[in-house]
Amino acid sequence: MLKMHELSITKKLIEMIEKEAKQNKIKTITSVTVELGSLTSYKKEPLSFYFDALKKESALIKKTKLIVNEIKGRLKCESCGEESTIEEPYMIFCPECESYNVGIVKGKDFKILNISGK
Amino acid sequence: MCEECGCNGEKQKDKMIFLDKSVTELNDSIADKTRIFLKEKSILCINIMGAPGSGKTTVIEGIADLIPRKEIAVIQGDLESDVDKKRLEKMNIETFQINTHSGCHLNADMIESAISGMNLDGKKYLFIENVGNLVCPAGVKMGQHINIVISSTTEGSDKPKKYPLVFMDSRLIVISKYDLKDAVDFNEKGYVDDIVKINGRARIIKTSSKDSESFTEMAHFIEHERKHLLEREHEH
Ligand SMILES: Nc1nc2c(ncn2[C@@H]2O[C@H](COP(=O)(O)OP(=O)(O)OP(=O)(O)O)[C@@H](O)[C@H]2O)c(=O)[nH]1
Ligand SMILES: [Mg+2]
Ligand SMILES: [Zn+2]
Ligand SMILES: [Zn+2]
Repeated sequence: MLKMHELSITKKLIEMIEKEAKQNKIKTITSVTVELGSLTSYKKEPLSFYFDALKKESALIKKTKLIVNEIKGRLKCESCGEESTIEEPYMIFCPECESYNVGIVKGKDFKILNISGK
Repeated sequence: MCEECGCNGEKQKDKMIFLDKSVTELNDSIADKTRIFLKEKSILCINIMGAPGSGKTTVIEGIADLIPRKEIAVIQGDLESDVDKKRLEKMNIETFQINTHSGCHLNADMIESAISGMNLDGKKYLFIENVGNLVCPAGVKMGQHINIVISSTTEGSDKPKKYPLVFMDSRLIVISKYDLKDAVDFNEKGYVDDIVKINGRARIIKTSSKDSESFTEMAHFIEHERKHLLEREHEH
């Protein structure tokens, strides 16, 4: 059941890619680059797994390479103003001043950065 | 014609389209509409997450004993069955059941269509009991104003550390089945310390189905959150 989690989001991703390709008159997509934040519930391996399984069904993305840029979350401390990387999702506090009064500024998104093709 | 790309001899170069678009964009835009719609109706929408059997329905029942029932509506998310819906309807709480079958969490479109089939006039609180799951509902926007996690003593005190994402996004963390804490050697201090590291702003409330008084603090909490929501000028 957990692995199934990425199936529906991968389908969404493919739908979006297909729409963009159509609008830009692209017939085959060579690569898609996505950014995957460490604070989302999605993981790289199952995403790639489903992408490769689903791409066989579509001429447009049959040969597409999915490039997943994993990025770590970042937080901004509201006590001292310092920004820092969230190394582990269970340690969300400022390493400078140890304040828990922090806001997450990065890592919660799963985005398509670009597609390339002809 | 060239076999590789179908061009007429001359090799075309790839063009790159820059997008920077969220994959959850469509879901999130539906969620935004729902959230604004509910606020305009003066309804606080509360997403309740937690492992299977953690006590999500019990907590809703506990609160419903303290708040006029006609002010409450519930959307029940389960893989299968309408067991929880029947439980709540016994208490005269308006309930809408969603069965996700294999779906591991609820999405914005499911909530939008549930709401279109409900009569929310006069309601002040809409609870969404998410599919029992500590992983998948994390970070998913459906139209809720706040997230709550129900985390029972019997699941063990290491849950925040193992499943930080649901705890990270929640305004309130309920330690349920507090009556069983000694029987299961629940390490409350360790648990609270971990919560603070993940979400230092979260409120922690303890509840027990053996003590109806224990839901009072929660009822106050959601009343306060609703007041807060209605006072806010702009919903974002
Ligand atoms: N002793 C004790 N038992 C509880 C408490 N809260 C819930 N339970 C029991 O735990 C079981 C599960 O409670 P539910 O409220 O159905 O849990 P749930 O999270 O809604 O379960 P699902 O919807 O199936 O994921 C039931 O047998 C409840 O009676 C509590 O505070 N103390
Ligand atoms: Mg339930
Ligand atoms: Zn899932
Ligand atoms: Zn700091």
